[in-house]
Amino acid sequence: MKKIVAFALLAALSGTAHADTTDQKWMTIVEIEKKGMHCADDPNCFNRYHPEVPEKASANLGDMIIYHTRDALDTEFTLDSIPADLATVDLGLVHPMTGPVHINGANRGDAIEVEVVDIVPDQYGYTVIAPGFGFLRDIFTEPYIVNWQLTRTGAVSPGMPGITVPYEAFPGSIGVMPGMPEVLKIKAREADLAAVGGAVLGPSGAGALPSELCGLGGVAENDCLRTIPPRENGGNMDVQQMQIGTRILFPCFIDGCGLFVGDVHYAQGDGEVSGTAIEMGSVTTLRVRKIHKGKASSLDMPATLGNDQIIDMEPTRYYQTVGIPLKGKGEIPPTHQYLTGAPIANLENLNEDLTIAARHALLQMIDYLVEEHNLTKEQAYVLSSVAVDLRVGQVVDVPNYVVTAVLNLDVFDKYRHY
Amino acid sequence: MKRRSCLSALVLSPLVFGHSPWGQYVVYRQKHLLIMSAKTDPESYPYSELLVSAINRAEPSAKARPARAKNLERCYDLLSTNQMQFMLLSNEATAQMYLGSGSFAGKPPLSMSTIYEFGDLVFSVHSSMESNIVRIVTHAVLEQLDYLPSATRPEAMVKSKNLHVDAHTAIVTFLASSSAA
Repeated sequence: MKKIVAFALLAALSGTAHADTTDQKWMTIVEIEKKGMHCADDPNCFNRYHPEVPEKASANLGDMIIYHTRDALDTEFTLDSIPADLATVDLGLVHPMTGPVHINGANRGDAIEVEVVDIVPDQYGYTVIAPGFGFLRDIFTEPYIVNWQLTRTGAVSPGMPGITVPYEAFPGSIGVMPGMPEVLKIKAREADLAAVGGAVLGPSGAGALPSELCGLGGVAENDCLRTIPPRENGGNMDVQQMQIGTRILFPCFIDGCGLFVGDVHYAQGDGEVSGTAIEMGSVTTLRVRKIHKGKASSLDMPATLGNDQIIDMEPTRYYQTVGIPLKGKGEIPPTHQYLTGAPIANLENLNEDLTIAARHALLQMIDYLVEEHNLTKEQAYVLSSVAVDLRVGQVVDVPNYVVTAVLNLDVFDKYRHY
Repeated sequence: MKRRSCLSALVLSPLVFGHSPWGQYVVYRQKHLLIMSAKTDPESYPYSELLVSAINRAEPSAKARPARAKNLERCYDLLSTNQMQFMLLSNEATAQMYLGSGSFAGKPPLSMSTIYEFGDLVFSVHSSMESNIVRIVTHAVLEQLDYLPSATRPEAMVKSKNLHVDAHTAIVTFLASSSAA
């Protein structure tokens, strides 16, 4: 009997614990870690698109691919950052991406279906007004920053008292690598646009990574695409509906696709009007659920499959402004200062113009936030960037198409059960 | 009036267009006289706010603003690529950048000259900055000395090493007009 008790005690002390679920594993994990302070220090990070950007890992269908991501500006912003810090930021570092990952079995011409499995936020995030950038860059010309404290119950900030922004994280940038034919096609069309005054940033080696490929003197310096515009390969789409649980379809342009993610947002309004959402680093998990053989040609751009994610994001109460294409006489907004810009200067009413209608709706929303909720103009612009959705009302009632701006009033603590 | 048009010339100077990777961002640097400090040089930013206020009082058209870099290396990068023209840093950091020594050993020395000194802080500018602009900025500082704690007396400043030649001229002129008055 003594022997039996002693044996049982020994087994209990030395054996593997089976008392809880922690040791039960079924996932195959591929993890792309963050190394070093910045993208330039990190072999798993890049900030330009080119088919020759080296793959950092390979994954099979169904593997959990865990990406440790950096904030959009690859900055050293901290909880005590101030507007004066913005003037010295190196915007050549936008956007640090983690990856790319080779998806086994996926080839050029296929499409992959990528599930957003999880996003773990950092504890800190920021929203900025960067001079010369953003939808109202002609009005908001001075730098501004809001430093957010993040938990999954909400984002709060001393710079935005009485406001809690709900956790609705998604990848601001997610995509696959373009092939060389796509690079050449994109370069040509963007150069044409730049020639007529379009807001295009061409290839630039300053701050470009990987430096040996895309940097100053790199072998492909003039073919590495900037990450600012979204394109056929996805990238900086900033579509907030790409929430946890949704699946995103990407056409593959290289063998292995080269799946990457970065620039993850804690929350963002449709429009991201100030130019930034609540920007943060994260640990983001993706899983390729399906490879659709030969289906790339049926996708002009990425597409999203979702269920109730959109419903979950809807406000329980809201304030909505209505915009039509009206503007000031003599005014040419920055969005219209190319091609036909000059002839519209003296028109107060533009024709079938969603951009001006969006501007009209947004300006009314900022006025509402200032007048009714005592925010400064800068706070109102930042709140609009992270919690106001620009939505198309109609595109038929000529000449006045309608865009509305919808504010989720749940962001105000006074309306919540605290 | 002449002064103001000269400062407008500063903000439109080709210098400010150099090497910026983000064309839209250059607009901000075109509009403002930016005085760069560093987060890791703790006295520099608070004093740069005082200096900015002083310059704006004397020369509102300067539209001066503080610009705080994350560290001295970032200051060096922005100055060496002509993306910034003015800096306010501690004497030690400034000397190292001037000489290419200390933490900047092995890097090309910055071609910077002193405009004015405030205790341990040195306000400096690219040596190639236009004469008129250096004189106007120096004069603005001199007019506001009462609001700038620890500012070196003008009589001592003219003997300072590495003083920009046009800052020297402005200080001498200021002293002459003061004594005449």
